[in-house]
Amino acid sequence: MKEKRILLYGEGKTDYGTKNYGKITREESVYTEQEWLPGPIVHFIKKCAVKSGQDISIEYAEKECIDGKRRIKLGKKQMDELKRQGMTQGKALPARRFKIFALEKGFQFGIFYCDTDKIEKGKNTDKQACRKEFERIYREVDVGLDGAGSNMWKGLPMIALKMIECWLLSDENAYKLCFGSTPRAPVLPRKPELIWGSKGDKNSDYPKNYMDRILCQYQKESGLEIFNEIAEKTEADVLKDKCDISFQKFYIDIQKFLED
Amino acid sequence: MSLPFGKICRKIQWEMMINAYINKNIMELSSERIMLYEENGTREIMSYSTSSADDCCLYDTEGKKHAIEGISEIHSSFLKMISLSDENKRNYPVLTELKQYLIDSDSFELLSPEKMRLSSRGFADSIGNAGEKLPSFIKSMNEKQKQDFNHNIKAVFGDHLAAVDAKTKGTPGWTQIISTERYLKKSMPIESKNMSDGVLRLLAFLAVIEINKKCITMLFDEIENGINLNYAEKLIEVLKKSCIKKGNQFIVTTHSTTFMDYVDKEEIIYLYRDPENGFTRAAALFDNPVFGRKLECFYPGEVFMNMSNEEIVTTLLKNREG
Repeated sequence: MKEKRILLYGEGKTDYGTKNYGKITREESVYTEQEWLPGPIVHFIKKCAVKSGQDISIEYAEKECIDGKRRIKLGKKQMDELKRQGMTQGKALPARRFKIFALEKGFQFGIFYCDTDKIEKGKNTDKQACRKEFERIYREVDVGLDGAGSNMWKGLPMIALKMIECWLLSDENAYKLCFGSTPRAPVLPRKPELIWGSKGDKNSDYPKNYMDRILCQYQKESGLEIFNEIAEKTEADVLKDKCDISFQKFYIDIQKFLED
Repeated sequence: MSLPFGKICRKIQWEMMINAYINKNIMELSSERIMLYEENGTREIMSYSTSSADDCCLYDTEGKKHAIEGISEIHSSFLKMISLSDENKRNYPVLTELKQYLIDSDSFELLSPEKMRLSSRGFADSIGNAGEKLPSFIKSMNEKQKQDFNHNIKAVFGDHLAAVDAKTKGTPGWTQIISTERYLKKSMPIESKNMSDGVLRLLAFLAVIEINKKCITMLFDEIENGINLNYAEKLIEVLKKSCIKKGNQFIVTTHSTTFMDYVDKEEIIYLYRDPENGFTRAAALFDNPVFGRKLECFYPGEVFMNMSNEEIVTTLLKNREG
């Protein structure tokens, strides 16, 4: 099967990665694997690709070109189309810009990653509410990645409920492989997608705070390198079972996505 | 160029050389030629040259040459010198049809809301170059024209603006435009003197569609001036429908990328200045493969939004060299 060239976009350093400043000599809009320090979602994508038996190469869209000063401008007609589908807020717009940017750069495949972040107050641990919110954001991104245009384009939403840390808090065996033991105090959450708490309270179940406490056991701190280590050792099947709303959806989608 | 004059669309080649005498502030026709493209080839139907023995030649339907002598200086096209007599219509049907088409075609590049806002007198078969006869023209509309006019107003404005008509006061009478603005709890009559520039310009565009001519060309300059861009889509839709119904052609200039989004790519000609010599050039922008490809993900206006003028011109010039 011919290698599929995929353009990837995420929210930031700790999910899709960052520019490898040691390897780049000028500002670009698309970076190769050599010019980029990948984030944990790259490992997840590659694991899924291995499962599907498809060879892929990943390149990275510069954030400025999707959501910053150099972003694609959308005209009234395109905005009206998104409005008719109820999608002028949220993730539909950056997803649409990402699609256009990818087509302009000659890509036929693109993966757009984002978080759901918090749900409605009081419902962050309610599975049904979380699923509903996930589906809402998924639809926004899906509409943005679709729209009028090339039949040769395939865009895939990759959405973490509620943030990348939740996915990284799924496989205890990954921690054993990385740090020598499974987490004990605290243990990993049973349902990582459903944890929540106050951001300001270090002892809360806010996913970033939870992750900090997990890593503290190993005298480690959150960061790109650690997240990559954990992601690399995380089993896709385990992640799929523990995060059965968001990662399971992505796991199923990417198999179809990579099909010829 | 292909022009929709006469009953069928004809393709002609029209060449003209003009000498400009800046000190005398005059222009003089040096040479002119009109070629007609036909199924079995092209033929000349008119030629003029100050340097040729036969100053001007017309060619009849059989291709026979008729020289016209003794022509002194001409400061415009020679076509102006050809009368629309029955004899000329018989002998030179294409030329006379072309002339009639050009006479009938209208340019509305000087539309002035200030003039449209004023009352006008009498009846009119057009709105005038500046729109100064808009009230009289609306008054002159027959029942069918008024019905179509108000139908198009509804298509563009929705239910917000209704029953646009003309009202004459006094003797012999000055005519104003009257409309009704409808709101949830209230309706109010609005006279043209109180209408906004944008509404008046829109009414002018919609009125022009009702001019009783077919297969002509109408020119609008900078269509977007004063117009709320939320009306762009509907206005273009109405103009397009009118083209199909009446066989008319609208030539519209715009800087608005919003208006461009609603026009088909084949209908967009980009005018630019050649950076080397300042010549004005025209390009069917989306015939260029670079711009054509961009339509995979952009609407036509969005292509302009995301490229600078320099980038566009450089790409066009590269294509010309290639």
